[in-house]
Amino acid sequence: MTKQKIIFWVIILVITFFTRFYRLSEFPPHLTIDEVSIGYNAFSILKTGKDEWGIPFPVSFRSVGDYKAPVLIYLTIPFVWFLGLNELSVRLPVAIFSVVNIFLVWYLTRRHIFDQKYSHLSYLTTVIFSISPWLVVFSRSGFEAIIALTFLLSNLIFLFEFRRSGYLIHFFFMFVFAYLSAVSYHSTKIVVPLLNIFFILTNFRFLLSHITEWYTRNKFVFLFTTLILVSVTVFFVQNFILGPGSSRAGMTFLSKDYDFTHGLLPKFSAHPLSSLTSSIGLAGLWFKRYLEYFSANFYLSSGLGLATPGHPGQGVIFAIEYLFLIVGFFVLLFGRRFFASSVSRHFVITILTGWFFFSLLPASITNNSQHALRTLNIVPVISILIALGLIGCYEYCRSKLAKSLLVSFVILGYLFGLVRFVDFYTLHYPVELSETRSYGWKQMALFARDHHGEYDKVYVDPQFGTQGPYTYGVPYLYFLFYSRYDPNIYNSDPRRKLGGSDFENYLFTHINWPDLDHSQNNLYIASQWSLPKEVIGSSQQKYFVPFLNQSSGLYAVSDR
Amino acid sequence: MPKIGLFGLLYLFLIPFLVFSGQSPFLLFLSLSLGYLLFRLFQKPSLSQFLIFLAIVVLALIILRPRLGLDMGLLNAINSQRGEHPDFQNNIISRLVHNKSELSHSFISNFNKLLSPAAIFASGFWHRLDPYYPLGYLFPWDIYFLYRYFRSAHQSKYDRNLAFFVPALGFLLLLTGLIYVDQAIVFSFAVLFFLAFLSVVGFSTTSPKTQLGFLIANILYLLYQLNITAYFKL
Repeated sequence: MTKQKIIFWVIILVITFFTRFYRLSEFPPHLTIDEVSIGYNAFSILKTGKDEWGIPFPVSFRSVGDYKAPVLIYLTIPFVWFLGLNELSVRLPVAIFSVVNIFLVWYLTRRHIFDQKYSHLSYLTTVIFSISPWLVVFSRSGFEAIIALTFLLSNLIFLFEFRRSGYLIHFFFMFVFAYLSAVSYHSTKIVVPLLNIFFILTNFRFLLSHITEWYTRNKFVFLFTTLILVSVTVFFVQNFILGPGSSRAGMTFLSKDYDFTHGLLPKFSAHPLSSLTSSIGLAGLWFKRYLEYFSANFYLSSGLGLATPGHPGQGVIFAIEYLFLIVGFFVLLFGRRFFASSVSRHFVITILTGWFFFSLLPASITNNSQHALRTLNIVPVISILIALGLIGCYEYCRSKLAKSLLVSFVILGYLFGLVRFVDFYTLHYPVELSETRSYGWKQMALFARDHHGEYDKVYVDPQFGTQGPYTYGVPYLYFLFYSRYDPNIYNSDPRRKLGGSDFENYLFTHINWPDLDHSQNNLYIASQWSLPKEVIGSSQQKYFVPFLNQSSGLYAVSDR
Repeated sequence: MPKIGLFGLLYLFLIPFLVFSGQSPFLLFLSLSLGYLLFRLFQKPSLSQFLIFLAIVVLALIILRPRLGLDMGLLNAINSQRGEHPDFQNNIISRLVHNKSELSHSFISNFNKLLSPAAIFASGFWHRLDPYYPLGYLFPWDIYFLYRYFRSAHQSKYDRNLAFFVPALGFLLLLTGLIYVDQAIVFSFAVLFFLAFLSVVGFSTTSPKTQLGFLIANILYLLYQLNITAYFKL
C-alpha cells in the first residue's frame, strides 16, 4: 500500500468515525417511531421468537400496520442482545452498514466503473460519498434503506463480475444480493428488479450463451442453482409482492396522494370520460413528481428537510457540488474515456444511466414529493457524477493558476457546506423539528415507567401538536421500548389479541376529558388540546416535556 | 443555421406555452425575440445580435418595472435562524452561516416555479390554470428531442464559441430568479423558446414518418388539454 493510499484510508476512517459513530445516541436526540418499532420487535424476537403481535419469525413485520421489511429487525437482534434495548443498539447496525457501503463504493468504482488511468476518480468518489449529507442523516438513525443500499451495491459488484467472467457463481450471488436488497426496504423492491431485468435485456445474448455453456458443462449444478433461484423467486413474489409486504405499497401509492385525491380527482370524476381523464391525470402527476427530483431546491435547499418547512434548509448535497453534478451528468452521457473498458465503456455507461433513472422511480410513484429516503439508492451514482464533474472541470482548466483557483474554490465550498450542514443537523433540526420527530415520548415513557404503579389507569392520547391535535402518533411503542416490557406478556395479553395496544394499566386512546371517570386517581399523558386549561400549571400537573422549540409540549396530569 | 423543415415549423407553432401562456401579444413577442436571438447566439457569436438582445432586455425591464422577488417571510426566517430566535442566540456558527447568501433560496424558489424540469415539461402552468393540474410549458417528449439535439451536437465535434451566448443566457436566468414571478415570465419564456428551438432541431433529425407521428401526437395532446381546461374552467 502506497503512502497516499494509507493517508486516504486514514481520512476515510476519521470521516467515518465523526459522521457515523460520534455521539450516535445523542444526535438526533430522539428515536423515531420506526426506530422504536424496529428495536422493540428485535427485542421481542430475541425474547420470544415472535414479533409484537405474537407471530413467530415473520417475513413482514406488521408493527403499526406498515408491514416493515424484516432484514434490519433481524440484524438488530444481536445488538440488542449485547447492548440491551437502547438507542445505541437500534442505531449501530445501520451505522456499521453505512461504513460497509463506503468500502463497497470504493471497490465498485475502482474495479468496475473507472478506467485504470483515472483510478483516482474512485478515491474522489469515495470521499464525496462518505461525507454526503444525504447519507449521513440516514446513517445515524435506524433506516432500512442503508442496508438495502449495501445489498444493492453487492448486487452490482457481482453483476459487473458476472459480465466480466461469465461464471455461474457470480450470477448466483448477483441474484442473492438482489433479493436481499429487495426484502430490506420497500423502494428497492422496484429498483433492484428493474435494474437487473434491464441488465438481462441489454445483455441477453451474453446471458443466453452462458446459460447454454453452464448447462452443457455441468447439468446437475446448473439445474440445482436454477431450482434455488426459482424457489427464492416464488417465495419473494408470494411474501413481498403479493403477500402482506405489498400492503405498504397500497398505502403509499401515488393514487392516495393528497394532490390527486383532493386536487385532481374531484374535478375528473365529473367528466364524461372520467376514468380516462383521471388515468391521464395520474400519469401527469407521476411525471411531475419524477421530474421534481431534477429541481434545484431538492439538491440545494429542501431535500433533507432539516429545518421548519418553508425556511431555508439543507439540500441533499452540498451547494458547491451542484454545478459539478450537472457537468458530471453531461460527462456521463457524452464523455466515455473515464470509464472502464474491461467489459466495454458502453456497458458501464448503460448500467450507470439505468441505475440513475430507475432509482427515482419508487419515490415518484408514491405519495409525498421529493422524498430523500426513498431515493437513497441514487447516492452512489450522484457521488460518481460529482466526481466526474469535478475532474471534467479540472481538466478543462488549462493553466496552473486556473486549476489552483478551482481547487481552492472547491475546498472552501466544501468547508462552508460542512459547517452549514453540521449547524442544521445538530442545532436547527433537533430544535425546529422536535415535534414531528416525536420528541417528548421518551421522557414521558420513562416518567410513566417509574410512576404508573401510583395510578389506577394511565391514559395516553396519541393526538398532539402545537397548533392543534393534528399529529396522530403511535406512543405505545415508546412505552414498551423504554420500560423494556416483557414481550411474552404483551403479545399474549387478550387486549392485544383483539388488535389493541393497551398493556398493564396503560390505555392508549383519545382523551375526551368530560367523558372520563375522575373519581379514580388516573394519570393522563396528552397535549394541551386534550386537557382542561385549569389543570395545566396546577398541582395536578405532574410532569411537562416541552418541545425543543418551546412551541408546546406533552403534559402528564393526574386527577388528584 | 440548422434546417428545421415544414414539420419543424408546425411543431414550433403547436408548443403548449404559446397556446396557454396568457401573456399579452406584445410581451409574448418580446419573449420570442429574446429566445430567437439567444438561439442565434448559441449557433454563432454576433456582437450586433447581442446588442439587440440587450436592448430588448432593457426595453422589457422599462415596460415591466420589475420588483425584486424577495419574500419578507424568507427574510424573517433567515433572521430567526441567524440568532433572533431565543434558541439560536448563542450560536456563532448560525451567525456565520445564515447570512445574505441565504437569500439565494428565494432565487431557487422563483427559478423552480418557472424553469425547473418539472415546470418545463410537466407542471409549469399550475399558477395560471390550477394548483394541481399537470401541464408543462413544452411537450413531455421534448426531453427526448433535446437529448437528440445534444447528442448530434456532440457527435458533430463542432467547437462552439459561446462568448455572447453565455452572458445572454446568464441575464435571462438571473432575471427569472430575481424578480417577481409574474414579471419574470417574460424572461423565462425566452429561455423556453430557446429550448423549443433546440427541441425542434432535435425533432428534425428524426425520420419524416416519426415527425408526422409526433405532430399528430402533439395535436391530440393539445386538443385534450384544451378540452380539459375548458371543461373544468381551470
